Amino acid sequence: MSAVATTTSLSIPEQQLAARGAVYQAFSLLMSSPSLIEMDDDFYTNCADMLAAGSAALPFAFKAYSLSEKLTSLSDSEKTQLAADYGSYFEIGSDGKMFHLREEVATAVASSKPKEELIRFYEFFGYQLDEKFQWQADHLSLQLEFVRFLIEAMWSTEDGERQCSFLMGQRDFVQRHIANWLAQTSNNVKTALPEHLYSDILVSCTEFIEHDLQWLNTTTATLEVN
Amino acid sequence: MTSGIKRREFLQLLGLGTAATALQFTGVSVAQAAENTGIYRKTEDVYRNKWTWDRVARGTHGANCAGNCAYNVYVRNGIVWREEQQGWYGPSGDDVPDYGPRGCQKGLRHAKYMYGKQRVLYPMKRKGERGEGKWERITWEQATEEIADKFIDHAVESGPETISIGSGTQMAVKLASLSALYRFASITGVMVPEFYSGVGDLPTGVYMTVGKVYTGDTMAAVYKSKSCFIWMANPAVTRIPDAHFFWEARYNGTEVVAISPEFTPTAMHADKWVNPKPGTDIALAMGMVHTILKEKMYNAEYIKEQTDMPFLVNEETGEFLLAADMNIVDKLAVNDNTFYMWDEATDSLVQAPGTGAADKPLGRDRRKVGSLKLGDIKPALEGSWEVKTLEGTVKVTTVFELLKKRAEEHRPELAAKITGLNENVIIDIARTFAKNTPSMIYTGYAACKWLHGDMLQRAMMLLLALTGSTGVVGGGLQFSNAPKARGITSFAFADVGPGLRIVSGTTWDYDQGNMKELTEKHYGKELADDYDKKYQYSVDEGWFPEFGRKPWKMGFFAGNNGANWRAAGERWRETAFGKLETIVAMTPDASVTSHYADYVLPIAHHYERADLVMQARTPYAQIVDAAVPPLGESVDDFEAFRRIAEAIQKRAKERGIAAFSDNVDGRTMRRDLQRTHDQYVMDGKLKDSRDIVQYIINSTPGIPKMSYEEFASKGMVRVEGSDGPAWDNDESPYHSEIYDSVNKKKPYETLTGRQQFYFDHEWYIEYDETLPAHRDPLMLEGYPLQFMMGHARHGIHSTWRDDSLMVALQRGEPDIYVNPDDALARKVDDGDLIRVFNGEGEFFALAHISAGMQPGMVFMYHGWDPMMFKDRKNFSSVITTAGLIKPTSMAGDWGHLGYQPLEFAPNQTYKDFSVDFELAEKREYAFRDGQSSPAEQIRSAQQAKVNNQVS
Repeated sequence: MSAVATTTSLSIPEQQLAARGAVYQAFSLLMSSPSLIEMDDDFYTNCADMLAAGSAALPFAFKAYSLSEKLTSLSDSEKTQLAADYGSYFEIGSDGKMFHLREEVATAVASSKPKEELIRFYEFFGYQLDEKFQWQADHLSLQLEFVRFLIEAMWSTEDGERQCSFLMGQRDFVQRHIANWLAQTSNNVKTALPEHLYSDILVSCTEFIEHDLQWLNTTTATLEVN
Repeated sequence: MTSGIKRREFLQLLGLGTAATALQFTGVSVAQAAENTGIYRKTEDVYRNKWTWDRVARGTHGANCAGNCAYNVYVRNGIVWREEQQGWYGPSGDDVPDYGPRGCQKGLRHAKYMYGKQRVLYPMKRKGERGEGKWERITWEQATEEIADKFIDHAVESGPETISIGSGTQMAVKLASLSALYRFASITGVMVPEFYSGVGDLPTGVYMTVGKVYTGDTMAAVYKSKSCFIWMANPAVTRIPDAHFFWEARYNGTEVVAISPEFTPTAMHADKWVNPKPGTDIALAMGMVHTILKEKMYNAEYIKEQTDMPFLVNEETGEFLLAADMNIVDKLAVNDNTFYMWDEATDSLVQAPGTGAADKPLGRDRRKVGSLKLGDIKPALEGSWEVKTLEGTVKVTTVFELLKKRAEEHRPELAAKITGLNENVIIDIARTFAKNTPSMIYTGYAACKWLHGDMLQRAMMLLLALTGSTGVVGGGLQFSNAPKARGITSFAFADVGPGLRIVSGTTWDYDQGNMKELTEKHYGKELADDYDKKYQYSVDEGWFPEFGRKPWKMGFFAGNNGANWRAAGERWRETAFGKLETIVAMTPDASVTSHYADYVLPIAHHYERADLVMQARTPYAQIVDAAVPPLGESVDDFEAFRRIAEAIQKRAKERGIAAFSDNVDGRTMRRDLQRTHDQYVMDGKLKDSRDIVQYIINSTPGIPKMSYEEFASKGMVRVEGSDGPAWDNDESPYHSEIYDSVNKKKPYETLTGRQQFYFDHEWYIEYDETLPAHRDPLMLEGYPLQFMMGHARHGIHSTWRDDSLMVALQRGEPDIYVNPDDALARKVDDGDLIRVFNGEGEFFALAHISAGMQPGMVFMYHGWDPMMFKDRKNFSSVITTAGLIKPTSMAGDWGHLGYQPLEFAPNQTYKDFSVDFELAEKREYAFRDGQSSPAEQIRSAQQAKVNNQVS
């Protein structure tokens, strides 16, 4: 790899930012409803590439090779089945089991506080959802994409103060709105569908989030303000 | 701040291509956002901006609760966050309380519920067995085309009447949605089993008495009453936004008496609580009638003019004296609507004013000509006379005299034995009722659910007539009212003609589910044969249509959770529902009905659609404006039917389905499935539900004319003719016929043109129901506890019943109220799981021990979905009454008796059965440590109270 480029004030290599962004993007796409996003023939291969390229350049050890390989080796019929399974497991509860991928439903919080804070985060950082996605602002795929958005925004600016702002936004958002519920959901899916690819994806995503949150905490430790 | 916006693609840093790396859910520029957002340091920063709303929409919940409550619906980022009562209602007059604020905990919870786990968001197709819960998500296109093919198969091969669209409580009050359903049904000819009689809510006894079912005023009328008897109703629970009128009326001097077997939240606030044994209310009412007659507290002038009390009856035959009895000309002319009185002024027979002047009542146009004015006639109420007829001299007497005899059979000491009340209580409340006029009876739908509910309503109407209270502001039977013309039918029939088939849900179930067998099993062969004989005779004679005799092939359930409870729960699921070849559930929320369906179509919830709601309890029409787009792939009912119609048209063209003739009620309709969609949308003129709302606004008298947009900006709009609390004028949108009869002396739409209490139809004579009379409620042998039920506080039918917060406000799971003594006898403690059973079935629920229950009864609030119970069985599993179609409710060819959709049809019986219970699972609770059980505590407290009184 060539000489490492860094952001101006935080000394975080660009490659690392892109790597994190790629992994967030990959998991966001993989956990999106196939009925909502455009999926071409290379969808799963692209996701696999992002996971592979991303995990190789992360600032922490996270291996997604086996998941990448599984995604790359999917046959057409398996891809079709995977899309159908998404609807079954996460949208309609086809077999009497329903795994909710929305924070508010998954956590069964009686108030709208989680969603209000989500919206406040999105709004604060200028992430505006298209109208048809707004009702599920607390969906995992949207939350993951938002973090990728923050990472890219961090990369886009050369203002050190802004970079810190985006970085701490990532840390708090991941901690308060992904890490707080994903592990349980992931565990539920793994218990019910131990052999399923979606189980692999969610377990892997959870592991990634744990590592990334740890890295975010470490990286921002010296940036704390009162 | 830097201006160095990077031009590269972010993820290309890793050598990734641009494919699949774009943001999926937003169109914003990251680079722009990177330079224009605030500086974040900690979470509090995102909270610094004041929370504002993108939009505040007007709305309500069309859940058939009759609340019609105006809400502001707060929207931000395409999400409904909260709602709030709009609350600027005015009063109906200067001296009555106003209607605001209106709302309840269910409505204020909806912003949360609509995003809940129960929402159906995508079209689904069944994969496994029915009820197995295996689904496949499919597209709307696939769903509607497959449904269309099945629809065409059934319609062409078996006739469209083998397909039904069951509309329910989610549909009933949303006028645009119901109009859309009716239009679809009218175009295609499918059957619409109406739910009014189907759920046992049809007040047939009211219709029999005054020829209308609409006797209700606004809730403010309660404040104008001087005595208000809340009878078989529980408004503190079921009319939350309106209950204040009852308590405020007490400050105005109104005597409020609550009558119910169980102690209710309503009884808690009343001046008196009277608790007859379940099913003995007719005896109580007739006992009161006896007192009023005996003490001559009746309004003689009123009943002479307004009722059939002075009409003459042949003492030997029990039949009215008619013109056809008197001379050969009228006999040949079959003049059976000219009635007679005895005039005390001339001591002679005279024709009753307002009778005989119109043709025999026919169809819906039963309004007679003439006047009720007596002029110089002084009708006798009491006496017996000899009259010459074609058959010779006969003895005649008055209905009033016959009523006295009937009342004698229910005199207070006898009524007391039946009801379990002290006879002085009966006499006392009769005096209260008669002396404090105008008297009002506020009743609920429970009054309709007994086998002899019609006679109870007739007895209630009798009490009101005797005190001169019907048709008087602050008096009368407060039951229901509805707009005279809601634009529904004119919209449904526009351009296509009236091709609608409406069938009583009761007879539909009877035919489709072999309910005679059910009756025979539980009530004996003799009764089953007798009832069925009358049923078949009525259909054979054409008194009631034979809509239910063709096999049922396909069922749409729109806003209808039909499998939740029926009068023969599981049996219906097995013998009718389960035999359907195709079941389509159109619903916003998952339920047992959708669980057993073949296709489930997602329907928009209350804040995601445009509609109009009108409920006569307030003088306001209420808009439902779409605050946010429908969630997921849900659409409103109009759009769902449009898509189905579009698919039917498409597939009919592709399959070359020719138009066919269809006979509906004697009219020949041309059904051209290749035109289904074009007809449904009026050849493109109709775009969406807003157009229907506008149509209804434009075509309904009494609604101020304005655009949908203006209506939506206001939310609620006061209807015309609503200066006072009563619907007593022609300007309002609501029925005012009863007031017209009292104030303008227009004859009633009954055979006699009067408030009619005497029925000489041969079946009424045969069953001794010419006048109201007590009948012991039916019980199942070996099962000693009468099963009672009522509307719930924390749900409207099955809507919101599964909401986590609503459930948390109760016991956390379905519960059933039992008497402490009954519980102790069965070694059941509060909170234990009990098995409730009879010869038909069983279900399990948590025992809720309450001293408010009489011994010998159990009580359960309804609406709990079977999916919330063990083995998916709710109380419907023990209801045995679906075959109890009262013979006299199938009577016809007699004036106003005969099939009238939504007015006179067999009302489904939901009482008249019994159960027993036993301990199923002992449950341990922390509070039991070292304490006696709650049942024992209640009993001890009661005993202590008795001891104190004795000492």
